Amino acid sequence: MKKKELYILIAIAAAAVIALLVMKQINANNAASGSSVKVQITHAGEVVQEFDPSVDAVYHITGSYGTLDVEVKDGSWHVTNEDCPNHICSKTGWVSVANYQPIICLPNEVVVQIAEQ
Amino acid sequence: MKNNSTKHFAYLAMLSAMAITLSLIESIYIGSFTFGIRIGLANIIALITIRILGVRDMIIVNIMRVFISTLMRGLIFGSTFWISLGGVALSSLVLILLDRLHSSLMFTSVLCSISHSVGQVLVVMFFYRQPAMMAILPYLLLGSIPMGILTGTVAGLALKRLKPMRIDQTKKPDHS
Repeated sequence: MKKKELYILIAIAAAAVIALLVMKQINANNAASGSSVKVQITHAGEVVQEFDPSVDAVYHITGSYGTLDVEVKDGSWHVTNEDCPNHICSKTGWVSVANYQPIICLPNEVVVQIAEQ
Repeated sequence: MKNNSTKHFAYLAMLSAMAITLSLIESIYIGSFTFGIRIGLANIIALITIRILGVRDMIIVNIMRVFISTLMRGLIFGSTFWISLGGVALSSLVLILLDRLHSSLMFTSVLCSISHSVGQVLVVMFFYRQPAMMAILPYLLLGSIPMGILTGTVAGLALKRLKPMRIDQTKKPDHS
């Protein structure tokens, strides 16, 4: 491998690491900024359900491919009982405000994400 | 000359078959690791094809691989198909560009794997209107680098044992 190419690769890796750190920082700020965070469940771009992550509940959502449940417990939420081919949404696992990641199910066109403030 | 074109055709068919098989094996038996990071075994074949046959044949092999492997899994024209088509389109463009620039095999492989994941994320962001998907891009970029080195190593091992058939390949390329 040429020297110049190695530098480009290192630059890409550094950019990715910086992006990760910035994302972590933003999530931490969100976690610190308050408890009044609302989480939205959208289907095909429309909000079908909005919930407070501090209230334990199970929401039943109908997507484009099948149905899925969003379970909220102790400030974290995850997707269970999903009816889709790849199960990427449930493999995302438990997420919370401090450890945030949007949960996306493409076949169902369902996204579980924190609402913009 | 006729003998040569038959040989070329046979190589093209064989490489397409290998790309389709690897893509099927990967999606069925290996699947994706965390955050959707995958090895990208079929990229090995794309790299080998562009080195031994040329740009046009690499595009044919890549398009065949997307169409036939999704057709065989029954996912053609579904979301999987469009996402992998986006990935292949961008990685093919990058492969053509780097081929023009005579980059080393390892660098080509890593950038090919990076552009493949970026292409997939772009399709999800713009055509499925899920800009939140951008959040996994850094993870994908970091995962692409080791996977690109892996596929580049395998392609290098294969290319040492294969004779290039490209007409414009007058000098011997370095497979490092």
